[in-house]
Amino acid sequence: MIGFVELGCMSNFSFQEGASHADELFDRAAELGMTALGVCDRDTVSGLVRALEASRGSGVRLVAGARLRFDAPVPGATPVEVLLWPFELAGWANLCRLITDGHRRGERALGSLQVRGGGLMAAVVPPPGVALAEQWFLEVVEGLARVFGDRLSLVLCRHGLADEGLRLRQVLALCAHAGVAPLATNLPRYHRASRRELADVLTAVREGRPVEACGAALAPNHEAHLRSEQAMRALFDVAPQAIDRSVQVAERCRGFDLAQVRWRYPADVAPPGVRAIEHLRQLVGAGAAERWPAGVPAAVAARLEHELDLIQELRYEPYFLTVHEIVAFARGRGILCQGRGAAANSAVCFCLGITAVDPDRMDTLFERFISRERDEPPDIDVDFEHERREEVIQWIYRRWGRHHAALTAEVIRWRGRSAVRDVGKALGLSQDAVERLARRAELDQPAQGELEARVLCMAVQLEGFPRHLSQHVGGFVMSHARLDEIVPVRPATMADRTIIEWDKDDLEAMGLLKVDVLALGMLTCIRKCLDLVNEARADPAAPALAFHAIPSEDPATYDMACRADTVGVFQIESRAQMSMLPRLKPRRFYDLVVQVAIVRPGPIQGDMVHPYLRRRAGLEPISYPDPRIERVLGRTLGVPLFQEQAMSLAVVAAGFTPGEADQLRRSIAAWKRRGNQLAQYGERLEAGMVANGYSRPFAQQVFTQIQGFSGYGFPESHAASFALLAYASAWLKRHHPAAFAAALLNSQPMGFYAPAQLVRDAREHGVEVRPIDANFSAWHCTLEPRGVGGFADPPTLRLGLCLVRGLSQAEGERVAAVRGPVQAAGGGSSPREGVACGPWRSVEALWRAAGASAAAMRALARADAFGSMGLDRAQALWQAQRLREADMPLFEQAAPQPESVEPRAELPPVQAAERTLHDYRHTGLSLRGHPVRFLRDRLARAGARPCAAVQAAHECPDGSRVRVAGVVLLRQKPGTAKGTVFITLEDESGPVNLIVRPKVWRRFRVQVRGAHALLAHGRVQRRDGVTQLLVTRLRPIDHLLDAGGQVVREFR
Amino acid sequence: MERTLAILLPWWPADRAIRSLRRRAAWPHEGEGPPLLLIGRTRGSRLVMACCRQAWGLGVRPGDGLAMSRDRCSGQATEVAFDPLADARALSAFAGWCLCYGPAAAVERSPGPHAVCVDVSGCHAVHGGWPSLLRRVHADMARLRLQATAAVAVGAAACLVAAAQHPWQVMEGHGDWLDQAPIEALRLQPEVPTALAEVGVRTIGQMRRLGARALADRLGHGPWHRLQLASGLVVERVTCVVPDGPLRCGLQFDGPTSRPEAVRQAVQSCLQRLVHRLRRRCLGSLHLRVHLRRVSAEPTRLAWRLARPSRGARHLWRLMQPDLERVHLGHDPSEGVEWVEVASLRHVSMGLGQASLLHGAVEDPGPSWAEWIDRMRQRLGAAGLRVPHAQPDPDESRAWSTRPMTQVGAAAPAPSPPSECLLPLRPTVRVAPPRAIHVACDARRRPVQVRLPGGMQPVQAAEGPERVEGAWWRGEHGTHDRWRVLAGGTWWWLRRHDAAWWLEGAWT
Repeated sequence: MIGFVELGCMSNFSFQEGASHADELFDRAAELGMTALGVCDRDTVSGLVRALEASRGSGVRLVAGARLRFDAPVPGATPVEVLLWPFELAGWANLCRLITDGHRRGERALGSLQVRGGGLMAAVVPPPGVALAEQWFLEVVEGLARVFGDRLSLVLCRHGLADEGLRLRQVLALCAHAGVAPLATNLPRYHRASRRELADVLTAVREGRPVEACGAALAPNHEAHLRSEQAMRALFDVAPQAIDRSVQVAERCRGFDLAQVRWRYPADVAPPGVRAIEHLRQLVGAGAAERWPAGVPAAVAARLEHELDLIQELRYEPYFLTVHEIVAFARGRGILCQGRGAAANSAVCFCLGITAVDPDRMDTLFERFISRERDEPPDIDVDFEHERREEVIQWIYRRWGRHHAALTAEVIRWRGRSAVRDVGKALGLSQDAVERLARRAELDQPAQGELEARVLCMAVQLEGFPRHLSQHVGGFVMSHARLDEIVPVRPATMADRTIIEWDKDDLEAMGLLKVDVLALGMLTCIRKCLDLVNEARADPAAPALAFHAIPSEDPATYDMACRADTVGVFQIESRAQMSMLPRLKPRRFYDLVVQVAIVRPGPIQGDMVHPYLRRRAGLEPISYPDPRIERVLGRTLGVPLFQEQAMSLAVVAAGFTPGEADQLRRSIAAWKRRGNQLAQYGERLEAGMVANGYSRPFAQQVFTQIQGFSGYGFPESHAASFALLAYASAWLKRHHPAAFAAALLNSQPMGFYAPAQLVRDAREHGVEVRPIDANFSAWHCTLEPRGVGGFADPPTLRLGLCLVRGLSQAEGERVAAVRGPVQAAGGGSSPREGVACGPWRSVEALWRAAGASAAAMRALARADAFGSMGLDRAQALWQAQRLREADMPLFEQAAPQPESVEPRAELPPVQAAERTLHDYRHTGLSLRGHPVRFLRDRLARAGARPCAAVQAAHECPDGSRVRVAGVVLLRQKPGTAKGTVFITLEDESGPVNLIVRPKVWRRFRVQVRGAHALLAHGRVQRRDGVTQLLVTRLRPIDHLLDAGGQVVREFR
Repeated sequence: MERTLAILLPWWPADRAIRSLRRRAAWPHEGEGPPLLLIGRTRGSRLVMACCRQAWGLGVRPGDGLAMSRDRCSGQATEVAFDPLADARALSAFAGWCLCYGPAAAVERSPGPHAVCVDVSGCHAVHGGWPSLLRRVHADMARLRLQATAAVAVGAAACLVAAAQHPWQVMEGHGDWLDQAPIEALRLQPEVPTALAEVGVRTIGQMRRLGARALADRLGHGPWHRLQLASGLVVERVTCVVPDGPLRCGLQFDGPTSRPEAVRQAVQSCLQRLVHRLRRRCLGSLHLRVHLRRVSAEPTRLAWRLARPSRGARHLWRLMQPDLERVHLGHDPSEGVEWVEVASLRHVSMGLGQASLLHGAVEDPGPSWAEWIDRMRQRLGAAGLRVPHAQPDPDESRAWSTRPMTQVGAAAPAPSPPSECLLPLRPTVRVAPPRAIHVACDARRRPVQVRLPGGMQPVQAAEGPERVEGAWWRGEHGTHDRWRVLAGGTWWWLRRHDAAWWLEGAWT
């Protein structure tokens, strides 16, 4: 027999072991003249889909398999490894079950092969360090020979190790004894010998020690690479039948192709006896009637019909019904949810309640979501409240069963920095040297010295290698048949979650559908805000405010947005968005859609922002080559801002089909990786437009703008979904500022601002904020009536115990649970049975009643939460320091104890500035004032003006030189800003934005990098109502202001 | 009247490191020099554990990361390894040196900067008054280039407060000056000042006003007791002891002598006494010094460092003897030796040996091996002696490395060969260094004949090749093959590198 097939190859999905990508292996196999290549990763099939794609590219057939480790039947003996290749679909199912069971149990018995050995070819790898004549190993081989018969082989492998000749003879003797065929394989870890160094580094990473200290864990040579038939025949000259056997096994495995794996969506999504499409049409009809009580607009009805026909044709109706079922469950449990992404292009999704973008108000493009030409599964992303998403996830597991539903995997790969870090550690660099090198590598600075050059060179090789499997943020796969017979399922690191071994790209390649169950903090915030608003209704009989009942197009809300008064508002609260708002001046919903989308790298790099703003301000004429273009670009004033517009332009002006247009979109997204493809589309687009009568310069301009989308940009549908939430949150902030602030504080951490800024903003909007108090505060921030008359007046905001640093939620809720009747109006939690209720008059009394720890009481005291007991921070802390856990055995808690009386301590008075700093340190905010206020005289002597003065044009005109000082709120160095650093300072009068050019930053970086408070010199710059300070000098003033507790948010 | 002198050394680790650098001419003798960082390693990260005053002024703080600290010093800093044990040893020695100020001196153990207390009660007349003593200390510290503050007060606790708050002053009584001092000056556990600062209590006076009961309820009895000590309300039992320093045995001649035999006998006599003291304390010496004081010539100092602790008189004498014999004692009586001292400058616990259990009936074994090592070390220097160290590695050339003599105890056990081989994987006899050997090969480069002492012998069996590549991470990129070859009735271990063959061992 002629030929040789390497069947035991490892790809780099044998995590931290295999040292070649699948395409490298297949290309090399093609070079060596192999007709097939077996990929057997260790205990996983996660790399097989990539291997399949690589095999299609190279023309070398994939023999899919896995290398599984089984526990030896003798305690303490080396595990037995078996290579398994399915030769029929049932074999694949068995292989997946074997891997799944192994992951689930943490062990894998050889006996499981008796049950799941069907449809599989097998080859036993003789364990290293085991005498092959040992009885237990003989029994293992004989036992497997009984199960597999002629499908079993024994692996012959030569890696140039000591004693290999002897072992070769022993294996051949064993084969003769047990009647098993020998199989030659080199068990390659890499495609070429030159990858040995990388393989050694991977070994070092796996072992967690430097290469130098890995010793025997390293391979002694580079022999574990792909070899040609000639080389293998020379190595195995004593057993040519072992080479022939590889061809026989490969031929036998022709019966299975990974592409045969079929997946079907769960069928039980429609009531019995009703076809899925009928059920879907019914639901869509009902939804449409609810959305348009006055009758469905004709255009929408036509769109619905078109979409439903396409869904029926492509058989996606169970998918839509599944998502509808999930959304219905969440709504039933009062969990806010909303679809986003491409699904917002679908009128069907709108009618099913999955998305909230009205197709009647927005001109969406369904082909962006589903396309006949593309024939790719649709992708529906649904956001749920982040604190309650787990309820939805667990319901999905229960609803479809753990054998039929699991989360998608996410392949975590080595990126530039992590690659440098791991290679550096493997080559013995110290941690700080590695960090420095990683930073230098990020900045593309050249290596210094041979070692650094070697680290960087190997890091480049390692970049893109998979490191381990993690779980996708929320992509669920559901299946009609058992999912673990389609792809192995393994437990995730998080409790009660399971994941499959394929990631989203694999799913797409294999044609599996997934539903993205995502989490969004703003939904939590809005739900909490609505709850607070409804609890604090002046008239409890009035209808409750619901999310969908928020009035649309409210002028007051838009006025607020135009003033950039959007602290805490979803998506339009960042510094960049706030600078854009006064220029864009949103007055209707679509303006918000544009606002959300325009401050993104895509539009900025595509140079679309300024033309749009100029046209909007009337500074530039709006013109269209013809009405067709006007229809596409009319709503964005002739400037393409969204991917959908690029697609529509290609369809309308260049004659692309919608499916081709979507391919163009994908090429745009992958432009930086695959530039050639986009260039081809560019030529075609240009030619098409010229053929349709457009001028070449116009065609080139359109293509340049489309190229801009290769940066991160929002699709219109996605921007519209987010704009809805932006509008809702802005409306709540405008009309219910206290509830909105409380909800924001209760949903932390989220957004751009720390609690101090949120509280400050609430107070500026007239909200009365009451301090944290152990007698009044609940765990969360709550609303309290302003006076005795209930909620007739605007409510006040009572800060919650959740803001107290060092206090756990359990302890805080215990304290809140023993509050006395004075809190009944605000809280409603009942006191513990048998425990006297407050209001408490001493720290010790509350401690005894609540059964909280002394540490918790000290945390409360530090947060100055005993004001209602007449104790300031120092006195309360002095009392709390006296509490001892040991003094409070269980029986003492049960029976109220008389308080031991101690005379009031003679504690020195505390300065106001110090009190403020303590507030910041222990709660992150202060109601007493801003810490910079106490430095004002000193700062004034240094020539520093208040931040508000910089904002006022009459005090500091454009171009004037000023000094300002404040605590650092934000420090950003966006990747698109070419090294410019944006800092926001805040003092008692408000915030001011600083722009630090790279040259200035380099000069002062060392001094101000970790500073919490800064004094900045610079020139005022005013553009379109936005004021910024162009910094010339910076100085840290931490020594003046001990801002240890101040939260500084770092973004890169 | 009871008086204590406290010397605070807030920059002790840096000062010690700078002294050491100066000795090696690695630090400028004049001027401030560059910022100095003392680096330690914690969980894989290199951190600044201490620094000099200059680095502190640039914003470096103990616990900072090395990269950040380098940045703060603009890359100009000198970095040395932080060695707290050496600091403690040096401080102990410094305390011994401070005995020049008073009869008892001790290292202060309470939390805080390094400090030494000296009981100088009744010494004012010797020093010409307390201010004079402080002036002398000031001058000494300047001469030694130590950044220190000192004070004289009643009681060690109060004196330490005074040294921190009122340096170079003589503090009488326990008045307002004590009440106004910060609590940290009391050198309490760090959590105590933190807890008190939280309630606004920052000075000793404010702490005193809280009362004993209230303080004890919250912080235990320690802080109040310390306060009582500092206030002189509780009699402070001075437990100052002479710190563990060198053990010395000396002998004064009746007159200067240039006779070598006399000097040798005196040294031997001193050595016997020293060994007796070492044995009594279960110590073994690591650093010996002989000091020969001359009448008018420069004294002679000879020192020996030992690889392992020893108290064997014979061993130590053999170590000293060659050097002593080389000492030129001169001919002029004025150059003669008038005083001999043998000192053990560094010693460690050796525990009880068999000889000790026999009540000195037999002298310590003093193995000749140890003597040989010490001699070799003396000749070759500390870095010249290395011991083999086995490590698991498939490459035989990498499987053995050497380590400095001082790390002998950390050697890992040698790997055991796999059990299933008919022959052990490695030969029982090694040929070191490997010998070139002529081997004839067949077309597939397998050995067929080997030239042995009896001439060319046919290869009866050959196992291999075992292919071993160089350690690329050390820049070794070659590959060599190893063969086990049966020829002339013996299995030989051969190595092939390119076309050359080497005999490396045999199985006998």
